[in-house]
Amino acid sequence: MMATRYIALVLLFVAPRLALAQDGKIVDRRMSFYEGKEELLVDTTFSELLEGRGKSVQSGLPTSIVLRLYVYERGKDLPIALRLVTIRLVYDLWDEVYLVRVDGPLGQRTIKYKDQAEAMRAATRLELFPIATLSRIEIGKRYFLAMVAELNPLSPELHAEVRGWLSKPTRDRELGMSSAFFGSFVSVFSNIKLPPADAVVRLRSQLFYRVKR
Amino acid sequence: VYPSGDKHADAAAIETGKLGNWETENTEPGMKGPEAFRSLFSVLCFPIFQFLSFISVTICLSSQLAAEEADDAGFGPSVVVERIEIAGNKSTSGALIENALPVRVGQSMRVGDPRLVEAKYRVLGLGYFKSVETRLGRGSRHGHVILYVDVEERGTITLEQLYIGTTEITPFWGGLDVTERNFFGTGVSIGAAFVATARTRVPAGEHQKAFELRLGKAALGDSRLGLEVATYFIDASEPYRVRGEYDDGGRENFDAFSIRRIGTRVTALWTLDPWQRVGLTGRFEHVETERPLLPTYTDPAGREGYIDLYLRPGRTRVASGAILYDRDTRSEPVLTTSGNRLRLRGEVGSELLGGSYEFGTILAKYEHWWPIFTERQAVSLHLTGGLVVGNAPRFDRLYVGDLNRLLTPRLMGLVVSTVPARHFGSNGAVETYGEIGAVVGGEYSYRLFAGKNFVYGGNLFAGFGFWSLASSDRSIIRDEPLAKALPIGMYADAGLRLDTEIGIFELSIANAIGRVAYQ
Repeated sequence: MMATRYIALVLLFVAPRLALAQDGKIVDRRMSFYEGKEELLVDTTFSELLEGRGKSVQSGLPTSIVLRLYVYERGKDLPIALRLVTIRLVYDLWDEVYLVRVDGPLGQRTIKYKDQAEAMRAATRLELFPIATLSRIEIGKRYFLAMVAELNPLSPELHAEVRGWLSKPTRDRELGMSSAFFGSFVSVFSNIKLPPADAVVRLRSQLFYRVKR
Repeated sequence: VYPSGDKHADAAAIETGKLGNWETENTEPGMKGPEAFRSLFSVLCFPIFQFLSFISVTICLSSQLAAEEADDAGFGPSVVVERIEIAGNKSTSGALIENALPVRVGQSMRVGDPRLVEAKYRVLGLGYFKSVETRLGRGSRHGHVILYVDVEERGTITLEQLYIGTTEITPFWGGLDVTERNFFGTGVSIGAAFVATARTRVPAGEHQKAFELRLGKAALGDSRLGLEVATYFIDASEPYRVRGEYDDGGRENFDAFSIRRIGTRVTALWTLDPWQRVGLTGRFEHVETERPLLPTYTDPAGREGYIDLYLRPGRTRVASGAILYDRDTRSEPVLTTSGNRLRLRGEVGSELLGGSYEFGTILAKYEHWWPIFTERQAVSLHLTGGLVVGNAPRFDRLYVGDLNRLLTPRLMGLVVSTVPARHFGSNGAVETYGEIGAVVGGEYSYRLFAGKNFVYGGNLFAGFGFWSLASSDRSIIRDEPLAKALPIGMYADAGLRLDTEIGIFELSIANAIGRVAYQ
C-alpha cells in the first residue's frame, strides 16, 4: 500500500514534467472537449499504442494500458488536474471473446467484443471522459491536455528486480577488494536493456478555453 | 468505453482554441474589474488550493491503484496451467527456465494474475536470453491452458577486464578476465582471469603473474542466495622505495621483493529486495614472502632508516571474514542519470581464524546522480573512504594507485608502476600504501547516443576530484601540521563511456595515462 502511494505521489509531482519534457516524443493531437454538468470531458484516441500488436493481444495474456491525463494551464509547470486510467485487454481462448476492462474515475466497466479490431479500438479510445472538475477551469484562460499512455508498464519493483539480476553477477568485484572499491578500471556485467514499458505514447491537445454563457 | 450517445454535455460551452506552443506562449487575455480581482485571488490562493487538491487526488489515486493491484489477480478468465512448453533454448536447460517461472503446472489462476504476466520477465532476468515471449494456448480441456515460453539465447561470455599497458618499470603487462555466466546451460557461472608482466625493471625484479578461477551461482534454487567460490595464485615482484625523493619515481630508486599468494575466497550474497544486498565473504590464503630482513630507505640527505614492508618474511597466512552491504537505486547500472548507490564493507582478519595478521578494514562508497536540463545530462557526486587498522598485510592496505585515477591501479594485486602521485599541500611524502584514504569527486555526463544492438549507448563525461592517502602513524602522532600529514591530490578525467553487450569500455584520459605510466 505504501509503495502504491509512493508511486502515485511520484506520478503526481514528477511525471507531469517528464511527460512533457522528453525530447521529440510529444505528438500534437486535436481533441474534442465538452463541458459536462461538473466535469470537463474529452474525446480522443491513441490507437498507435496497439498498432501491429494484434498477435500479442491474441496471446491469451492480458495487455495493460496505463493512462495519465494532465490538464495544464498554458505556461504553468504544474498541472491543475490529473486522472489515472487503467485499461486491460485480454483474449479468452476458450470463449473466443475479447474482454476490455476500464478502471478510472467512472468506476470499473468490462465489455466483451467478438472482433479483435473492435476491442483494440475500444481499448485505445476515450469518449466523454472526465479530465477535470469545471471549477478548476477558469473562463478566459488557455489550457491544454497532456496524455501519457504506457503499454504493459512494469512496476518499479519488478523493473528494479529484473534489472538487478541483469546487472549484478554473483561475483561483485565492486564489493570485493579495496582496489576495486576505489579503482577506476571498473567493469560491470551488462545485459540487454529492459524498458519500463513496451511502448509509450505522449499526446498533447490543442489549446482550449471556456467562454461565458 | 464510456457512456456515449446521450451527449449530456453542453458541447458548445467550451470552444477549442488554435494549436499553440504552450511552452513558450504565456500571454493572457486582458482582464478588467472582477476578472482582475479573481486573477489576483488566484495568484495568492491557487498554490495552496492546488497543493490541497493534489493531496486529495493523491489519496484517491493511491486507493485506486491499491484496489487495482489487488484486482489484477481477479481479471480475465480462470485457467489451469496444464503444461509448460519451452522453445528456442539450445544450450540452456529447460529445467533452469522452468525453475525461474513463478507458475507451476497444475496451478489455477485468472489470466490477469501477476505471476503469469511476470513470467516473461523472470526468465529474462536470468540474463541468458536476448528476448523472451510468453503466450497461452488451449489445453486439452475447457479452461486448461498451455504456457508457451519462446526464448532467443544470447552470448553469455562477458569480458570483465582487459589488462594491457606499459609503465616505466614494467615494459609490458597484459591479461584478461572473462566469465561464462551460463556454463553448459546450467546457470552456473565460471570465470577465469590472468595477468602477466614482463620482468620488473628494478633490482631483484622478476616477471609477475596472477591467475584466478571462479565458480558461482547467482541464485541457489528458488532462494535469493547467490554463492561464489574463487581460488587465486599471485606471484608478485613488489617494488619498494630504497632511496630518492618521494616524488621521484625513477626505477633506480626502487628494489623489489617477492610475494607469492595462493588463496580461496567464498562469498554468499543475499538479495534482500530489488535494491539491497548483504553478503558475507570468507578468505584464507597462504603467503610466502622473500624480503630483506632489514629493508632500509636512504633519504636524499644520506640518512638511512628501517622501513616496514607490512609483510612478515617466510610463510604466513591471512584469514579473514567480511560483511558487505549494497543499496542501489540507480536508474541504470552503467550510463546512470538518477538515483544513488551506497556500498559498505567491513573486514576482520585474525589469528583466531588461523591467520598471522590481526587487522580490520572499513570501506564505504556513496554515489548520487541527478538529471539536469534534459534526461540526456546528469551530474554526479562520488564519495569514497577507507580505514585500515592493525597490522594488515601490504596487499590489504590502501594503495595510492587505487585512489588517484591518474595512476596505474593494482592489477589483480600486482603493482606495475612506481610513478608517484601528483599532489599539493604536502611536503612530498605521499605514501604508496596508507591506512586512511578518501576520494571526493564530481562528474558531468552527456548521453551521446543510445543504441539497441551490440552497443547500447555512449556517454561523454568529464569530472574532477580530490583524494588523500595517509598512514595512521603520520596523521595521528605527527610533528607536522595536519595539512602536511594528509596530503591532498587532485585528479581530472574526461572521455567516452560505452555500454556494450559484453561489458563497459571506458576510453578516457585517466585510463590512457594509467595504462602508459611514465614519469
